[in-house]
Amino acid sequence: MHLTDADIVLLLRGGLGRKRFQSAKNHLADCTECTERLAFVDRLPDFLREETPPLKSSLFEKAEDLVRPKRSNGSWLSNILVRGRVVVAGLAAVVVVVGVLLLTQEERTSRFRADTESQVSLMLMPLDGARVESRSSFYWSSVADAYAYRVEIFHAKGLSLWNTTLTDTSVSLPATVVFEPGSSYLWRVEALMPDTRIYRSEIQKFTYVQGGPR
Amino acid sequence: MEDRELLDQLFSGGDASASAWRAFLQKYSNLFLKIIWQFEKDRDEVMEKYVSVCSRLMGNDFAVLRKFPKELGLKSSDFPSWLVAVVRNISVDLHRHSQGRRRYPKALLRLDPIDRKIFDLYYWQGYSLEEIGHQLDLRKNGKGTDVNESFARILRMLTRYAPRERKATFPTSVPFNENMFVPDEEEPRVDVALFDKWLEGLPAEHRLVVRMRFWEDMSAVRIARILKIVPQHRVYAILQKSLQKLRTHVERNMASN
Ligand SMILES: [Zn+2]
Repeated sequence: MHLTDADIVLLLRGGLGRKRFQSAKNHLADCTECTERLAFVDRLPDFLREETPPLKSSLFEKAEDLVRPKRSNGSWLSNILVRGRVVVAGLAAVVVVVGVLLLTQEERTSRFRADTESQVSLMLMPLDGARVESRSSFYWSSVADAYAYRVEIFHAKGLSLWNTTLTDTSVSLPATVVFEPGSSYLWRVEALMPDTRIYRSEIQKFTYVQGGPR
Repeated sequence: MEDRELLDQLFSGGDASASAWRAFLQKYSNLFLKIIWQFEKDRDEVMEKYVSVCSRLMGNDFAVLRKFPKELGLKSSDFPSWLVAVVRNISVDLHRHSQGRRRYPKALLRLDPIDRKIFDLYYWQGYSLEEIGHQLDLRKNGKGTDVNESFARILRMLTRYAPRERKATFPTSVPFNENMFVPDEEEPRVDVALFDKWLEGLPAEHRLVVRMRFWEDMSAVRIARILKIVPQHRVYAILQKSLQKLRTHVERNMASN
């Protein structure tokens, strides 16, 4: 019989009794599957140390909704007001990006810090799945009291490509990063609050297309 | 909050249950993602599987998670490890097509291509080091590698190298690197019969050490600790002896053919 998950955990921390330890070893010697499971669980410290591409906040909410007390459905607006005290300031119609104010380059903490921050319905442009060219700009709704916004662009599989911190609610595509025409990228915005909270937008995907000269 | 407490709340039902579920997801979502990444190559797939994993965990009134408190001998601090095992099982289940596939030893995949070729020729095909040197034309390939040097390096790496311990000296977080995931398609083919014969000929403990070191790429130090092998360097001896046996086995095979 295969080892149970508990057996594996106990074996790894030396908690199996002598007899069970011996029979577990005998089983492992001939069971590829259980050895693989054992080695996998043994990688927990690696898992905790490594970073991973961020989770879409919509998916977190989807998972969260799996267990949810019954309550009246709030309207979309009251929802975001409750969840993040966001004031949607209306997206700027002007497409010109004026001097981007670069604040102190934020210390390179993990992108996946312990999720104590709220996730808010920050409205972003371009929307998920949009095509973006070199002259395109990115916009987001302002968050009341936020002192700055941190914008980050990721490679499609989650590797961070670029980030900047600014007070504006728009930014143009960085000239310093080479984007591959036809490739997809991800981006998101974090609103930095005076009380150290960070509100994080959903991840949006865009495809870079060849545009005219800057 | 301690994991036991969190679970108690989770199983309590009602509003406390919902808020405990949220706390549970906040605490463990990233871990789930990392586990799922080991089985899926595509971000969208990973995200989709994430929701599936979560719904399996909460399904049937948390039937899966309710097993934890019932397991004898497990402590609250064992919960993350136990959860890794459980989420791995679910991920494997969700990724059915990868099941039952014979894997090439992971430790060998870490060798650089020329070293792996040398290993193949020497241990799987029974060539002498001199023949291998000729065959690969090693001195001419600009790398200036000597086949003996290369061979010594392979042995060192396979029998003594401790990848886990070395990695552990890295500070805090290692950036996510998608290249860490070796795509299935690029795995070399496995000479199943030869692997099986080799393993069959080894004593049980050696077989297990070989599996853990070569197939699972666990460090010799870690293996010694888990299997309580003392002194620790006995693991090195077992590995070296096992490789010698493999070589003898191949040579005998060639002589009889
Ligand atoms: Zn088994």
